[in-house]
Amino acid sequence: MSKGSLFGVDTIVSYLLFGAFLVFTLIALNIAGCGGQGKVASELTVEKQGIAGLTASEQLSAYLATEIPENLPETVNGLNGEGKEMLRSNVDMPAAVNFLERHPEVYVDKTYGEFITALYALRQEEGSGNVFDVVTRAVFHRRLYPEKIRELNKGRLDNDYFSPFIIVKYGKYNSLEYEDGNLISSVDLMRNYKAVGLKILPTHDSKGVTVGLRIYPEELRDAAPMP
Amino acid sequence: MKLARSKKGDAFTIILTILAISILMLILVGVLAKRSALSSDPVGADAIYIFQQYDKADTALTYLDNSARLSAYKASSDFAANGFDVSGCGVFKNLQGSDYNGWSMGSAAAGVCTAQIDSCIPGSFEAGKLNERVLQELNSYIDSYNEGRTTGIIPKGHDITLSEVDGSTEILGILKRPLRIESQDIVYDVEPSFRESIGINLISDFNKVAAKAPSLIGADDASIESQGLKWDIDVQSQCSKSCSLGRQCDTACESAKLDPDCDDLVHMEDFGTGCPRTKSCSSGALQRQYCDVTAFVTVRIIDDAHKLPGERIGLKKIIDANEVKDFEYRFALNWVEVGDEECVAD
Repeated sequence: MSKGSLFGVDTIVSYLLFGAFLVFTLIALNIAGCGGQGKVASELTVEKQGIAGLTASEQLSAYLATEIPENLPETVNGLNGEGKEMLRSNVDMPAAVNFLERHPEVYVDKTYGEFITALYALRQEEGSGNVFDVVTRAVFHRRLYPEKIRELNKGRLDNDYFSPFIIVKYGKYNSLEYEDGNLISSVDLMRNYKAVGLKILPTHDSKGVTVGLRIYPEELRDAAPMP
Repeated sequence: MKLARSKKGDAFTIILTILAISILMLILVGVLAKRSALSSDPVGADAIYIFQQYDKADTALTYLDNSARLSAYKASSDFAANGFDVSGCGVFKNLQGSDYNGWSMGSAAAGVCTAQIDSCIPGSFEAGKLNERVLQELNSYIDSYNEGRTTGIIPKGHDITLSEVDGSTEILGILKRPLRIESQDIVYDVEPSFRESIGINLISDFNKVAAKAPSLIGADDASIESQGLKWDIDVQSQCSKSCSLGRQCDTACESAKLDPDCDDLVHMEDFGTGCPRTKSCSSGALQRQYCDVTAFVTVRIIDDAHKLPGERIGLKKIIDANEVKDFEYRFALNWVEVGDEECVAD
C-alpha cells in the first residue's frame, strides 16, 4: 500500500482528527444550551404560575365590576333548582332572601364591588356573611365542566357546578389567607389553589376592605379553548 | 506527488482552522447565553413583570372607580338634604332638631306690619357646588388609599363634570396627571380618569322640586305623590309674635259715675238716661298679631326596586356611613301669616 492510498497514515490521522472535532463540536453545542429541553420546560412552568396570578387578579376585577341583577332574590332562589344541592350546602337560603328583601339598597343599581362595600357597612347585621356567600354563588356559579366534556360523559357531570372562591377581609392588606376572611364564599369543590388575585375596595368609613379570589388549576384548564 | 501532498496539507490546515474558530465561537455564545437569558430568570419573566405593574395600576383604578361612585352617592345625598346648597334664606330647625336649608323667609316689617317673603328658590341646578362636594369626598378616599404607599399613588385634583344620561346622573372625572407605577427600570403611567353614574336623576328631580316649591307657601300639612316623588310637608307655626301698625289707640278704658249715689233706674225714670259718667282710657299702640310659619318639606324618590315587605310604595334608599336611610331632598319654606288688629297698652 502506498502512503497516499485510501488507508494511508495521514488519511487515518485526518479522519481521527475530524472525528475528534465532531465530538468537540457536539460538546460545544451542549454548552450553548441546545437540547436543554428539561430546563426550558421547568422555566415555562414558572411562567404559567405568574400568568395564573395575573389571571386571578383580572378575573377578580371583572367580578367586582359585574352588575348585580335587579331581581336578585329571584336569582338567589334559582339555586333551589334540581341538581344544585352542592351550591346550597352550608348556607341558609331563606335567611339570605329575607335579608335581601329587607335591604334592597345593598344590591339595587350596584356592582358586586359596591355590594361588598354595602355589606361592610351593614356588618353588624346578623346574616351578612351568609348573604355574601349565597349571592356570590347565585351570581357567579357556572357548570364545572365544559359542554363537550359533559356530552362525552352523557350527562353524568351535568350537576357539577363551580362557584368562585372569594374572600373579603375588612381593612387594607397585601395578602389574604382563608382563616383571615370576614366574608367567605366557596363551594369548596377543590383545594390546592394555584393563585390569588387581590383588590382593595373603599368603604364609607375609609378603612377599606381587601378582596381576594383564589383560582385553581382546573379553572385554568376549563378556561382554555377546546382543541 | 509532493505537490499534491502539500496541497492536501494546506486544505487540512484551513479546515482545521475553520473548525477551531467555529468551536471557539460556539463556546463563547454558549457561555454568554448561560449568563443572560437562561441563567436565573424564568422564560417570560420580564413580560410578566410588566403585566404585574399593569395589574398594580388596575388595582388602583378599581379602587378609584368604586371611590368615585361612593363619593357621588355621599355628595349627592348631602347636597339634596341641604336643599341643593341654597343659601340666603337661613336655616330652620324642626321639632326633631334637624336643620333644613331655607328656600323662603317671611318677615313682618316693624312699623308698617306688612308681611314680606324673601325667596331663595334656586333658578337653576348649581352643579358646581355638587362637584366640589364630590371632589372633597373623593380626595378623602384617595388619601386613605395612598397612605403608606411609595408607588402607585393616585393623584388628586380631578376636574369633575356632571350630566344627565338615561335617567341617571353621570359623573365624569378627568385628571391629566398620571397614576405612576415605578419599579426597577419600569415606569408605567396611566391616566386616572373615570366615568361613573348613580341611579338618581338629580337634575331632573331638581327641576320638579324647584317648580313645585313656590306653590307650597301657605300650604297645610300634606303628603303628596307626584311625578315619581313623594312630598311630605310638615307645617309648624309660632303665633305669639306681633308687629306695630304705627298708630296710637285707647285701651283699658273705664267709666265711673259722676255722683256715686246716683241710681241708674231712678235717673232713667226721671231723665230718660242713665247716671252721668266719666270715661278714662290708657294710651296704647295699634298692633297686629302674626304667625311665623315654617313648612319643612321632605321629598323622597319613589322606586319600587326599594320596596320593603309590607310597604305600598318603595322609596329609594342609600347607605350613609353605617346606616340605611331614604334619599331625601329637604328644604324649608318660611312665611308670615298676619292676624287681627289689637291695641296694646304702652
